[in-house]
This record gives sequence, structure tokens and C-alpha cells, in this order.
Amino acid sequence: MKIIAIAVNTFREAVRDKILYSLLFFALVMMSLSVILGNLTIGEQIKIIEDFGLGTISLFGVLIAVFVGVGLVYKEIERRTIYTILSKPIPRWVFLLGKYGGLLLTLLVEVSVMAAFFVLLVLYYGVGFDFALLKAIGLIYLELALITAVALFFSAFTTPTLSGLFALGIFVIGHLSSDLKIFGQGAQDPFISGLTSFLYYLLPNLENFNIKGQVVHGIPVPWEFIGWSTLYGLLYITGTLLLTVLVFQRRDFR
Amino acid sequence: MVLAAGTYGIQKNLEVFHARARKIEDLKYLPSGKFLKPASLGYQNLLASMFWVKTVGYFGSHVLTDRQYPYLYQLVDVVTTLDPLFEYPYEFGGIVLALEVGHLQLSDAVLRKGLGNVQQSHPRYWYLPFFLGFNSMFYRRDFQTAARYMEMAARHPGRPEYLPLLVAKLYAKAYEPAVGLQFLEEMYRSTENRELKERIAQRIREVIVDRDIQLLEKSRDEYKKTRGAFPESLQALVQAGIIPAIPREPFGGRYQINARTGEVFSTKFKERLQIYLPGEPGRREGVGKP
Repeated sequence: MKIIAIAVNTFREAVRDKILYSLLFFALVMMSLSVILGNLTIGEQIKIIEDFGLGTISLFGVLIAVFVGVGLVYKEIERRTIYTILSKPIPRWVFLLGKYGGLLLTLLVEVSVMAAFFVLLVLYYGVGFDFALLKAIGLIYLELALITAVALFFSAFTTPTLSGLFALGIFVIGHLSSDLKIFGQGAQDPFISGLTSFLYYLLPNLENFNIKGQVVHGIPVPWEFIGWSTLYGLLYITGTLLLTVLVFQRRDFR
Repeated sequence: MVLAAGTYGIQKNLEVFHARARKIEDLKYLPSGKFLKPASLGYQNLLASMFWVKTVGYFGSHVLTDRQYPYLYQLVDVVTTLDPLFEYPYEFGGIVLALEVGHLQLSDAVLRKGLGNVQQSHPRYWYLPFFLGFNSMFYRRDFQTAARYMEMAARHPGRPEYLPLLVAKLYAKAYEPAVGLQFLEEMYRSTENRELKERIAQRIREVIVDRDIQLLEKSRDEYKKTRGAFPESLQALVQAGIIPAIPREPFGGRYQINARTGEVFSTKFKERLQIYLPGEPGRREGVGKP
């Protein structure tokens, strides 16, 4: 119950943030732009619209997840409101999970707005709506949830600027991690190949959530894959949150 | 208001510089698709779409000016490396590189890349072997290879009805300009880009001139055989009953004959069609590496 109260409060606070609206605004502008670009080009206009739509939902979702995500805990500390919360009989993990829940809610609303706009565009310009597009958006949301957890983890012990950079860094590495593995396999040194494969399994493989290309080209994505990806995401998020709680428990607020 | 007017004026001035810089062309720094793909961080489709828009713009701006396309192959290659399943760029690149750039190897390279990457279930998949076959037949006169590709295209459910017949003709090595025309007309129908359509229409008219001149030359030789001299005019061929009428020249000119040398020509379109020989690197330089 307390978690929900904190989550709702976090959501209310997040939607007051102007950065959210400016990002959302640009996302919608970019999606509208795809219609014009699609008109300028030839062949498969709908493909351009879908590429831009899915790309925008993901890209701006990441930006929102990071920029809104890193600030929330820090703001509570800076405004000293965290003392009034934590002096109540609220365990720290409840506070953190509430914050995380609020962020997820914010992202959900945000992705839904973008997705609704996207679906309208596809319905208007396309020959029909492919349900698989929603699968792609679902996995994008899962990726955002993971990045939010990572952002929250960093923001539990460092400043918003640094944790923003770290979270974006994880996002970048998360999409390159398969290259890390290939690099490690090519290395002669057993230490290096061991290290790279350790890092490969430690860092999130965000390509697991990327089915944008397949969906746009109408390649069927088996539910089995989506199931395993979802499970992977949920496990990774749980692990990250546990770690965050551990760090946050030990932290001294002065 | 003053500030707005000021920025507007300055922007106008700066555009002069931009236009000057654009002549050097910013595409010199276009990285290869192999690098861009991992660097796109999962947005390779978005990036491919953006480069595709750029490719079409690049073609559009040059087709109306200098008709030189030194970066076209590279652009198409980037798009198709970022998004290998995107069918249309292969088709477009294949046509433009052969027809406009005159670089058959690059055209073949693009089309063959598409043959390997695009899903066979794609409704336009058959266009890839079709255009490969066209390159072999029309430019290289390699009917064996052409027939093989055309057979591949003919097996696809999306292909037009007449395709199997064409394959038979190719196997019989019965090349006539009419066969080439059929292909070009299919190419014309399948193309959406207005400028490219115009280039293909131009090529169709050229082939028609070629076909007509070939026909007129044959009739001229027949005339000479029976009467011992070249006809004074083409009208003489009609009067002799060798041809029913002088064909209409598609460029709006007329066909004429030089009574002394016997040369048949069009008043509007002077050059005969160039046929590319295998291994010939192409007419224009600087088209990029295959």
C-alpha cells in the first residue's frame, strides 16, 4: 500500500516536470516528420513511418527514462523531503520500489501516448495494422524499464549528472555487448576472453528487446522469444533493484 | 521583430556559404555500413530509413543537374547494410547504376546482395533476378546468364504472366530489340520515382530508334539486292512494298537515309545504343568501389 502511495506521488511529481513534455513534443514532431519524409521518397512509405515511429518511441523513451529517472531520488535528498519520508515507518526498500513504480507509471503513460499517435499514423497511411508492432512496443517498454532500474541504481549513490551519464553508457554498451562477446572470442589471451565473456553476461544485452527490424519487415517473432526476453528483462530488473536497495540501505543521509 | 528580421537576413546570407560548401559534398565522410550498424545502437532501421531518404534526394538533385553520381553506390550500400531486408533500395540501385551511371558491375553487385538478403516471400523479390537478367541480356548480350536469372524470376509467384515466354526466347538466343523493350516497359511500370521513370522512358525511346533503324537497314539491304543501289529516300522502301510505312520516330524527329552511304539515321537522336562488353568498367569515373 505504501509502495503504491509513493508510486502515485512520484508519478504526480514526474508529470509536473517540463522536460517530460518537451521530449514528448519532439517525439511527436519526429513521428509526424516521417510522413513528410515518406512522401518524399519512393517505395514502401509505410516502412519509413514504422521505422521512425518505433525508433522514436524507443529513443525518446530512453531519454525520458534517464533524465526523469536520475533526478527523482536526488531531488528528495536535496530538498530534504527524504527525512520526513524515512522518519515515518517506511523501510527504505519500500521507498525505492515506490519511486521505481512511479517512474514505470510515468513511462507507461508516455509510451502509450507515443504509441497511440504511432498507431493512428500507421492506420491512416498503412494498408492495415500489424499486431506485431505492439509486440515491438511491448519489448521497448521492457527495455525502458530496465534502463530506468539502472538509472535508479546509479542515482542511489551519485549525482544526477553522473548517473545520467552512467545510465546512458549502459544503454550504449547494452546494444554493443554482442560485439564484446565476438571480440572476446577472437582474443588469444585467456584472461581477456574470460573478462569479456564475464562482462558480456554481467551487462544487459539490450538487443534482446530489439525486434523493430523484424516487425517492420513482417518477419514473425515467436512468442517463445518474447517470453524468454521478458523473463530475462524481469530477472535483470529484479537483480538491479536488489543491488540498489543494498546500496541505498547503507547510505548515510546528512 | 528586429531580431527576427536580423536572423532571417543572416540565415539567407549563410545559405550562400552552405551552397558553396555543398559543392564539395558532405558525403565524402559517409562511413561504411559495417561501421554504422553497431554504432546505431539498435536504431539501424531508423538510420537506414534516413539514409534512404538521403539517397533518393541525392539521386533527385543530380539527375536534374550534372547526372554524375559518385556516391550513389556507397549510399545504397549503407542503406542495405543497415537494413538488409529493405527491398526497394536494391531495385533502385540496380536500375540506376546500370542505366544512369553505366556501371554494370556495381549494379550487379547491388542486385546480387539483394538476392541473398531480401526474403523470398517479398512480393517484389522477383524484380532482383529480373533486373540482373536484364543487365546480362541488354547490356552484355549474355543470353545464357540472362536466361538463368529470368528463370529464377519466373519461378516467383509475383512475376508477370509473360515472363516464362521470355525465358524461352532467351534460351533460343532470339534477341530482338522487342524483347529488350518488353523488359524496359516492365521497369518503367515498376518504378515510382518520377525522375528515374523519365530516364527509363528516354531509354525506351532510344531502343525504339535502335529497333526501327535495324529494321530500316534490313529493308535497305533488301532494296539494294534487287535494285543494285541504295534507295534515294526511305519513302522508296514503302513504294517498293518492302515496308508498309516508315515508323514514327519517338523523339519527334524523322528517319532519313543517306543515299550515297546508305546510312539510316534519326534526325533527332544521333548516337546508336552502346552495348557494354563484359568486364568493361563503365563509362564514367568515380562511381565508388564495388
